[in-house]
Amino acid sequence: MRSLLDVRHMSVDFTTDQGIVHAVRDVSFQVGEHEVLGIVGESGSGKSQTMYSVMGLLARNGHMCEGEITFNGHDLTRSHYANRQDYRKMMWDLRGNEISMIFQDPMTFLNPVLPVGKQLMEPLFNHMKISRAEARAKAIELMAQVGIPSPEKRLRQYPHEFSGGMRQRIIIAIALACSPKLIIADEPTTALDVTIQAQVLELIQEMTQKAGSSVIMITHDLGMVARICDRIAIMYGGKIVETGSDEEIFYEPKHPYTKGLLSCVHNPEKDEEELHPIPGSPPDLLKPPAGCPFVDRCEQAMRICKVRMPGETEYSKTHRCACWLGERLRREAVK
Amino acid sequence: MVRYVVKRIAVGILTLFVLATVTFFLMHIIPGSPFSGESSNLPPSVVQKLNEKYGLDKTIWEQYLAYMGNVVRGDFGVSIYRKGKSISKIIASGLPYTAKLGLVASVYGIVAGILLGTIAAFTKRKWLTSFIIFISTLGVSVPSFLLGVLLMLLFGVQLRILPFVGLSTPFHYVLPTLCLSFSAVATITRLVKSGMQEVMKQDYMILAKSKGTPDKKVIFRHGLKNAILPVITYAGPMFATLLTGSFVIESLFSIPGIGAEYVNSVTNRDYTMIMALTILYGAMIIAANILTDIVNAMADPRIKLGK
Amino acid sequence: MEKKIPMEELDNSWFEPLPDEERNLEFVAMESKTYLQDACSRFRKNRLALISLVFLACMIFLAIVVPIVSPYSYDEQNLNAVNLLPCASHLLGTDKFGRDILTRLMYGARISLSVGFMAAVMNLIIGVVYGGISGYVGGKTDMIMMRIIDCIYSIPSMLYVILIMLVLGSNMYSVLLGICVSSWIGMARQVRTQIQTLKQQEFALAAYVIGAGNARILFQHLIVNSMGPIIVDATMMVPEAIFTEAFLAFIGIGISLPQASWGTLCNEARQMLQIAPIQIAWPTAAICLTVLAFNFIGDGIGEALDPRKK
Repeated sequence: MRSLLDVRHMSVDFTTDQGIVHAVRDVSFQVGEHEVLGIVGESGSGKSQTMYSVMGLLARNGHMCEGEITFNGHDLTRSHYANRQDYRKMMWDLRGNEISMIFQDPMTFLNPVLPVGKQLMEPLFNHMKISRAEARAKAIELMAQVGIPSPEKRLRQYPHEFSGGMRQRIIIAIALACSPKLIIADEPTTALDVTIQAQVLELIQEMTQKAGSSVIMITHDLGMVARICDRIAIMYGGKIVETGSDEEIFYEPKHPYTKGLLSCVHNPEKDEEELHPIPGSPPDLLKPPAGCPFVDRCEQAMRICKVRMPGETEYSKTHRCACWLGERLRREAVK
Repeated sequence: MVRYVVKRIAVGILTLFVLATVTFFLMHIIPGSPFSGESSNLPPSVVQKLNEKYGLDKTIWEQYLAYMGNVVRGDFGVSIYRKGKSISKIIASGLPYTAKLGLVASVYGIVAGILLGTIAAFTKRKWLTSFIIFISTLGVSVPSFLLGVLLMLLFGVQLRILPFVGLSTPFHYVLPTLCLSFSAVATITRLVKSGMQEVMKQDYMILAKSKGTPDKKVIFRHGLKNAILPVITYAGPMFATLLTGSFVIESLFSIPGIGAEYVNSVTNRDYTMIMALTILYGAMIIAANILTDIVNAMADPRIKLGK
Repeated sequence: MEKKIPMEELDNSWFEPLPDEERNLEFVAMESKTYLQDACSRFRKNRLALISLVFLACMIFLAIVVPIVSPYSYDEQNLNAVNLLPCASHLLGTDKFGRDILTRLMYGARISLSVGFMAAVMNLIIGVVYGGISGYVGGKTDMIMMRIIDCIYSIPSMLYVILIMLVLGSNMYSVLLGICVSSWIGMARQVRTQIQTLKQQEFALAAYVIGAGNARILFQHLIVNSMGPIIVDATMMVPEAIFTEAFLAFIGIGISLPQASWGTLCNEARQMLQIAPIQIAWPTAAICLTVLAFNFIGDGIGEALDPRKK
């Protein structure tokens, strides 16, 4: 499978009042064409910032200090461009056209003083040479596709006249307006009511399949990942600790954190009464630990974990895990 | 919408009525009549005649009813100090000056404020931001009348490059409008700067960028309108500041507007004039506030009039 | 240093379980300070606000001790020494009657500052009580109280001040009364909104459930919680009142006392503009610096109490 997006050794730092936050540390991953990659992690694990960095949309105080990004033959690494304007122009061409993003909170991501129709037509005008009437027709079609009733009328309305679920549908329509090759969905259902979550998720799935897009689904909801993703990456403390196909992650998790996450999910088949929360809280990324970020909460922590970052162990072509337990198993096998 | 406007106008008229009533009675509880002050040495018979002429011998209620009746018809009576001159005529001759001055000052205040605020929010030159903040801090801490005196002294008297008497040429506008609008410029600069900075942090700016819209367009299409909304809300108070400022700026720069007239009438205790101008000012401010609210509602779709 | 050891040389003891005492399970919280301590330390880091505070303290101190320290009195005329430039015996020079300007300036500080402070205190009281009642009671009462506010607010405050000065004469109390007619409205509105939001929060309900009385809820919980913006507002009120007073004095209907306020001094100096232009610099500087100082302090308090505002 040809890889569409290739991220290698990316690190992202944020400068804050308290010091430098190392939000993403040495993260590498690939997304193939028509593939759905799930990135799972708790809040603050750096999963959103990784994606903002790919899009070149990091906040002013953040920058990608290391690594490189390749997308469909384009080099998206800002530092590789001597002239910043070249990078910007390329990104303006790509964003909304070949890569687009679905955001987390439908209440804050739409401009309150512009009619939704205008906001929906904006990517069309940016990337296609079409007339106003054509753009309008296309916008109405898009709104109908994402399931908004009487789109002609609602085109002229403002975001505050829509419910949260409807707004999220508009955001999805904006992201899909130009049938992009890659769609990054940043916790698209977190801010919605539970009843609407499933509908919106289905909509994303249906629309992206129709457009033939690859999807990166950022979430902390393992159930959602299980339903739609081909491959899963688990992030913790700014690092990817385990990647694998959905079956590998769900049936043969290697990293203690992954195991912990899975035991947090109530499994109706096993008929267990208890959930197992993971004790403790994620590391302070102002002073990231020298060793494994999970060491303080890990039941199987070893002395090495405290002082040195584990390398990756390959379990299969797709399944890799960054944990010292792999090394220990290897040593035990040698003995 | 129409219902809201009608309601606001009704409330405005009521406010005005209360203001007129209060002003009338306040002016009449001041001890002594305008013709018996220390300054006048008129014989008692003349005073009595004058009292009769201006209706001051009737009961206060009769005077009140008569006065209100006249006001409704647009007749404010005659000036006491400038014997026999009709107040409506004085206002008609002074208002154009005040209006021109106020208009130029408010246009200047809004344009300069938005410009400075935007520059301060976006420039990468730190000294420029600091300089603009410094100016806007000065603007809220230097009273307009002192600024007027200082600028007059510097540009008019010492350097002799700008005229400072009257409003006859465009150059005559420079100093008075500068003084009059200084605090408005400062306030709008602050509003726009903090508005812009606030807007830049908003999520919808990220979404706009994610559509591939170039940064400058994102700022103008999505940012500016949101950042400028607070300025529209400030228009009402700004109008009041400009009016109050015009009292002293007009006196300083010898502009024959109604602001200078008001100050004169206060120093001369010209009660009919004070009453008329107070009502006029009240009416103008109320109108300005209603207008501000309507414009605000048109600019911001989230505001619904009629509640 | 351990990083340099190649993997193969790491000995197996590193792969023994991590002893519990080497874990830090607890989240290492930052040095915790109370809200007020935190705010104080933030305020202390604000250099402009600190300088302003020192400046104001000096001004107040001088205004208090001036009768003891100054060799001149505010109305002592000396026709042999009129319109002097600053010199050793008259630090800021003399005016057209030969009165010492520095002395008059310090006496002026007494009037201007007390007008400012008294106006701020009165506004604070009226605004908090009015806004508090309106926000707490709500319903029809609130609506009527707000309409009254709208009514008062629609007329510029300067008109009230001038009218009241005309009626009650040119003294400090009529200035104060005039200022107080309308300037408390901003404060009242702010208190009302604060109270309305706070009323819906859980601790207000909790207080109600544990049976704290109505008045106690109002004043203990709600007011304490909206302290920050109220203090900032009150601080900003002082320069506004000083402005208003100076404005009135400048157009000639200010407080008429033998001790001139800063506005009166400006007005007197303005008449001497052609002869001794330096005289207007002193009261102007006094007004501007004081107002500036209050602005900086207000901003400083605001930022200290609400760090996000920065």
